Formats: sequence, C-alpha cells, structure tokens
Amino acid sequence: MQKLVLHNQSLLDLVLNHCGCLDSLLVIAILNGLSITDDLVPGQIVTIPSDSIVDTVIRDYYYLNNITPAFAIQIQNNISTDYVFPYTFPLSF
Amino acid sequence: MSRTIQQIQQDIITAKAAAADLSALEVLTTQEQIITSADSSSKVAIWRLWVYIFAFVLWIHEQIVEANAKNSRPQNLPNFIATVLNYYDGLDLVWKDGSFQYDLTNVADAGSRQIIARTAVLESNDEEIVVKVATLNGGDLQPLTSDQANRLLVYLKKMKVPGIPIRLVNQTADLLRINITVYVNTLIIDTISGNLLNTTDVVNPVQDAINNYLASLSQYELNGIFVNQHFLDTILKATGVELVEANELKWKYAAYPFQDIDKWKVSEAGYFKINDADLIINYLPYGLVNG
Repeated sequence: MQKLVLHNQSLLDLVLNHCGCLDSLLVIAILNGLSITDDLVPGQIVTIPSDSIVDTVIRDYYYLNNITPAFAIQIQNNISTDYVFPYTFPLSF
Repeated sequence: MSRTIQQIQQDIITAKAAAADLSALEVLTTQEQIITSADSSSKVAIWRLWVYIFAFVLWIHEQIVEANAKNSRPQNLPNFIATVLNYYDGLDLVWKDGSFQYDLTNVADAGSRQIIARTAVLESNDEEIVVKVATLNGGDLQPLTSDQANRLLVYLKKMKVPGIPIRLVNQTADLLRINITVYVNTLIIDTISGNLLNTTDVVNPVQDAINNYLASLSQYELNGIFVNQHFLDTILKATGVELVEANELKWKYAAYPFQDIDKWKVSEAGYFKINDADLIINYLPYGLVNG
C-alpha cells in the first residue's frame, strides 16, 4: 500500500504510524530507495509492502485516537547568526 | 542471521540480570545518593526505554552488516564457479558498487545469453586457475565457438583476482572406446539385440545404463571421473545382467591416439562422449546356474 508523508514526518514516524512498530523499517527503506535518516518531503509517497510486520494494537490505537507521529526536525543550516551547535564539524569556527 | 529487536532486548535484559553491579539497577557507587526509581520494575521504566533504544540501534546495525555480508563475494572456488556460470555472452560489464556487474535492464534475451551450461574450476600445479567449460546444444554438451571462448576469457580476466594466471579449456569431449561382454539372463534379454523381451517397446538396459553413467559424470559440473569399477558396477545393476567383463576400456583426447584407462580417468575436456562405432557390447547367456 502507498502512504502519504505528512508534515514533519520522518521515515521512522511514517513506519510507526502505519505499522505500529519499526521491525519493517529497513525493508521499507530499501524498497523505496531511501536511507532511514533521509529527510522526507510532505506529500511524498512511500510504499509499504503488505507483508510488513505490524503491531496492530499500537497501530489501531494511533488510528482510533487520531495520533500521528511527526517528530522530524528540519535542521536549518543556513541560519549562521544563531550560536547553536551547527550539526557539522568544520575545521575552524 | 541478524536478531530481531525483541531478541536483542531480551539479551540485554538477561545480561543486566546476570550483572551483579546492575542488580535491581542500583546506583553504581556508594557515594551516590540512592535513586529509588532507578530500580523500577515498571514496564515503562526509563531504563527499559533505554534498553529499547539500544536494542533498536543494534538491530539497525546488524541489519546493515547482514546486508553487506550478502553483497561481499570472497574469491573462493564455489564463488568463482558461480562467476563463470553467470557469464552473459555479448553484454558489457559495468563497474558498480566496487565490482564488475552486468546491467540487465532492458535486456530481454538475458536467459539465452547465459551460454555456460557446465563448468569446472581447478588449480593446476603451475598455480594457475584452470576453467573447463561446455555449453548445451540439444541436450548434448559441446565446446563454445572460438569467438565465444575469446569473449569468455576477457570476462574471466576482468572477474578474477589480479596476478593469478587463468587458462580456459574449451575442447570437444574426450572420446571413449568400450568393448564389454555381458552375461545376461536369456529369459529376459535377447542376446542378439540386447533388448528386453517382456515389453513391446525397445528397451536396452545395458545401453541405457552406459548412457546414464556417462551423463552422471557431467550432470551438474564438469570434470567427472570415469572409474572402471563404477562403470562396470552400473552395468551389473541393469535389468537382466548377471555378469559383466571389460575387454577394452580406452580413452582419447583431442588428436591423441586411444590409450587404456588404468583404474580411472579424469577427462581433459571435462566431459566424455562415446560414438556408436566405439561401443561394442557382446551378449552371452549366463550359464553358471544349473537348469
């Protein structure tokens, strides 16, 4: 089945959302040609194979209570004025 | 085989239970203030969440290691045999992911391009790899054309480990000359034709046994060994055969003359063949039983 990526969803969020567990994470990542840490774009289609391992209790809990995991943090590398950890290791600051 | 997340979690929890320092997850040094919640037995305790996080990370790691292990192909003989069999005639190799591979996208006739039907990979005394090959034509093994063999050699030189010479053996089958006397039960077998008498079909048990034995020498891979004793044993097991005697078992390779086979013979080309004119079977009635 094909699933739509929502705003701020990482691949882990999406798999958790539709499978209730992460056991099929790598299979889904390889099937879609993604790395598990790739930034997904809202509206992107991700194919989840029908034989994925599913924890129905957790998945149904998410569905029934309208809970959608979406915890991806888009790193803003272009904001150079903020004195925060730059998420890179430059040779000199 | 990598473990599941559950198995890794269980391993961590078992190790934790066995470690005296972590019993009941007490604080590690006496100077530390005891944190009462650290040894929580709750299913959603913080330390259990950390077990899950570690298990998940380990699981990802194991999956990646397993996937890479499947991709790596160390150069040993079974893998090199697979490499030879994986030759596609007339297709170019592309360098991808650290090895030469075929790009089979948009190649409709890939199956018919796999022309190597049987192979044997050996190491010679001169420290070279000897590759014997044969292709199938209408069920019969035969050598590749010289053009195909040249292309295969270029392919093998690209796929082999550098510095090791390679020799390709692509020859017509070694020929056998067999003359045997078979003592048969005359109630079952006709001593003139050698055919079974109890059926209207033409069934020649001795001829079939010989064909099956020769086919079994190159059924899966080349370089089967013709063993005189095994050959005679196979004939002896055929229906109606009581005794078998070898008058002549000879072998020849390329343009050399026929020579006697002493106990056994490894074929030079990798496979044997026998022409009808070189197979002489004399049938005699088995007369050692009274009445």
